[in-house]
Amino acid sequence: MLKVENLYHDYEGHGRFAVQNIHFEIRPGEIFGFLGPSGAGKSTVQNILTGLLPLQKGEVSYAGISLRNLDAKFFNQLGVSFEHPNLYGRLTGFENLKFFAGLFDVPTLEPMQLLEAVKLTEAAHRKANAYSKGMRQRLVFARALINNPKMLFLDEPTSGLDPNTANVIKDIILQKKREGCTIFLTTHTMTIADELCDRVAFINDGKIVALDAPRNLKLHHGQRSVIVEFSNNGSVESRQYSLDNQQDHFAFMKLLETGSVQTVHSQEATLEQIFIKLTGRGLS
Amino acid sequence: MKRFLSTLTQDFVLAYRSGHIFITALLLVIMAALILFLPKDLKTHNELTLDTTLGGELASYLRERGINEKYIFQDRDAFDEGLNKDPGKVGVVYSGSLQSPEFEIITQNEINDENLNLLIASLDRAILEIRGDARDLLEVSYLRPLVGQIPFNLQIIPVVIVFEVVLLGFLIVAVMLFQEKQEATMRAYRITPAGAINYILSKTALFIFLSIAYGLPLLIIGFGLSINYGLALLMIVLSSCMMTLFSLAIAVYFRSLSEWFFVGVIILIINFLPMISYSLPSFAPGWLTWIPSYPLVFSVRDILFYNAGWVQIQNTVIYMSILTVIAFSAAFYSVNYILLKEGRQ
Amino acid sequence: MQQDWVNAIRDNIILYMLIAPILLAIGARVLLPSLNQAQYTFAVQAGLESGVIDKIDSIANIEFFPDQISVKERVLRSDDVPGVILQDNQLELIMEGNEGGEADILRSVFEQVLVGDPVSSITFTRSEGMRSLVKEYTAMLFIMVGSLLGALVMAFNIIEDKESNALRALGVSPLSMLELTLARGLFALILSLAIILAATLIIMGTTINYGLMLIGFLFSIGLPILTGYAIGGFADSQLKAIAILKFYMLIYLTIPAVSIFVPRSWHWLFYGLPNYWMWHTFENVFIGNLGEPGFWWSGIITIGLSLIFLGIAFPILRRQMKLR
Repeated sequence: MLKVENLYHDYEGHGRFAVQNIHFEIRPGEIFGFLGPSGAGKSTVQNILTGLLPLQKGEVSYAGISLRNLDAKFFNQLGVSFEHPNLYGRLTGFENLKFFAGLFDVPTLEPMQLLEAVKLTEAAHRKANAYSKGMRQRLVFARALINNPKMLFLDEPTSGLDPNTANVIKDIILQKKREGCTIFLTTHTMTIADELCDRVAFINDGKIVALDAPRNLKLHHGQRSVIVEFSNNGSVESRQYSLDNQQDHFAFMKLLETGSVQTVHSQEATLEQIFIKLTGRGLS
Repeated sequence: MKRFLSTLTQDFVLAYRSGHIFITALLLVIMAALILFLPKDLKTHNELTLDTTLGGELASYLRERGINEKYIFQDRDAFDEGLNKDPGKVGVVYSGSLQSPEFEIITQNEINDENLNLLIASLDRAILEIRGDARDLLEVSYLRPLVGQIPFNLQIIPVVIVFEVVLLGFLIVAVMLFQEKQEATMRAYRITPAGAINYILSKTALFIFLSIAYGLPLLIIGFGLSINYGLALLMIVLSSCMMTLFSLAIAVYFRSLSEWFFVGVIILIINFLPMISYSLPSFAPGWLTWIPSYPLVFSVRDILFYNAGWVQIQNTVIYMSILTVIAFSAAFYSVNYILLKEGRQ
Repeated sequence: MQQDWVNAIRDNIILYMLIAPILLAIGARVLLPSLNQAQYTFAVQAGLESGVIDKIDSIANIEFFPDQISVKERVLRSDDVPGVILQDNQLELIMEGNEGGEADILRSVFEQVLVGDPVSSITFTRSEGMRSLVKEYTAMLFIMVGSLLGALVMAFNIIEDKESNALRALGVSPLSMLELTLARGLFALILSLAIILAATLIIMGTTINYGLMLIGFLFSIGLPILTGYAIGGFADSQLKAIAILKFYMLIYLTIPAVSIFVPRSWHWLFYGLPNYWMWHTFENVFIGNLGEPGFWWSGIITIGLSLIFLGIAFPILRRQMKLR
């Protein structure tokens, strides 16, 4: 669906690249995550892919057609949810969606339907500048879906949302995936990437340092062991057993038979741990 | 069309909720009140005349000619006091007799010789007329039918149309653009198929509509149905279009409203300069006549007061059309290549 | 106040705000002589007697044209230019027909110049210290504009605080409303004064009493502050500020300028407006004593009315802009 090759971007023209040699491909119907700390270059890449920044060096193609050859009609297929809500404050939530829908050539969804989906029904006719941060974020997300896009760009879609509302957004994202939408998602939140993405690229200082499915990354970079917590004479102890060591197998089985095991945790790495391991810095 | 209507409706709603429609309506009411309640006849006279002769013939002559009593004196002290209070006026003291009239001309500010000679000629003519010796020796022809005195309260209408109504687009379109920049809603607009033309046309259409909504009632109040509304509205549409596009073309280059504002004010002041020529038609240096509002205000004047037809105003229409095309090109360039793009190209 | 300065500088406001009026003042200074010397222009057919040419030259500029048609085309242009042609060996005066009620007078005066004989004996008396009132009134207009511009920068800063919610941050600092008011007001006044001084120097040079002008400015300080707070207080966005400004400018600038042309008997309409009295105050500085109420009383009325308006507006503005 989307192919990016040798992408570079220099904001000021002094040879300092915000992104360098970015190279990846997104398959149709896939949720592709860009995971990295603030300033890593995630938004820069997204802005280039959506045409908000010029394509200075490298190649970007959608379904085989270069971004340089695509015209304005291309945007009928795109939906973008921005990190910083950019709404007309003097228009209501409903109006923001309605007028935006009017800009597309393709059939659009009903604004009220979308507002219901993101739990903004009651605030639909209130002006956007009266919305809380979370409400604005939801409205921006809803706006990204108005034209039923084939390709969705989501920049920190759950930023500022409480867990319940974040779950609503995640459910919508997964629903869109099931409908065949291809999704490019940028985030610095590991759990979002873990829960939603089919594949994740780690980006740091403008470069991709790893790219694979979260599961594969965790297995590849984690330890093949379990940590077991068990009760022993009234206190809780923990022990680690390697999955590759025969002796540890027997010891673990023996402990299981005692019935004192309280918890068992596998030791595959978290994405954050992998990121730290690869880059020397955290995600936040 | 759907896209254009959607954007236009949105712009209209935003203009309404920002108070611009309300303020425009308020200004319309004020202008209408001025037109209705300003006096029809407001004669001012540049000279204060003191007639020292016993017969007071000059004073009577001036009164018969409709000169207001406060400009005619037969008492020296009152005359001197009047001059002191109004240093802009020229003092004329008449003495001697009708057969050998003597005038003392007292100037308090710089007046060129040409205008003084005109004054002398008018005084000579006045004496000849009082004596009954005035002859019409010179053939005079008028290229257009002679029109009577224009009521003072209506004289402001061309000024309001050209310097106020049309201003709406110039000022408010820039403000709306900066509001969109500030709210970053341009980013959302950029990732739609809408494009630069839709953006420009919708803003222009909005201000054409508002200009007509502001100007048309004033025309109806002032003139009823007695003018050529087609031409008058054509002038409003063309000038509103041009000013809106021009403003859009420039505003894009500024980061914020406060940065743009003072440059905008300079442009507006330059645009206002032809108002001087409207009050003082003899002041028409070449460079001034190229300012778009110059031919515009005189064309509107001719349409409203002198039944000017297409032939008389076609040069202005052509000039404004050319400027509109240039302004549109500039606006398209600014919007398409700068406003709708981010970053270094 | 320092924050206001930094904001204004970063926005290039200071640059534009000071340069713009200075450029305009220079432009006005260049323009004024020609405005003051405005006179009629005649379109004249080439080949007229030199005596006739000299007579026309004594009252107007002359533009020569090769034939009658081009003379008539010139007369038909917007700028009220009469023409003189030779028709059947006779002089003919061409006028456009839009001279209105003055057509008759103009005709008779031009005729007197072209073919009449001198009748009267004329002497001239020129007052000492003659000057162009156009220059003075232009300088006064710049004073009004200068005071408005300073107020606008203040208003924009207030709106910026509101839009960015920085006002809330100020609200959890030890800053009091009075301190904020003084700082903002002082900022507006300094900017206004800078523009006023620069523009006056350019247009008037050293021909006026600057001490009196500064006193006049002090009398008027209520107005820029009132303006800045009125616009900044009532507008919650720059868009709304411009809407309010459009209306405000009509009252603030137009009324004093219009009062030059309106007969004194109508001036009672403006007596309740502090900007009218501010204009009158500076009229006394730039033009001289024009009768009652004079410089001092005009100034006192200005400051009095400004305080009354500030007093009326203050409770409303306080609610709009309260820190806490």
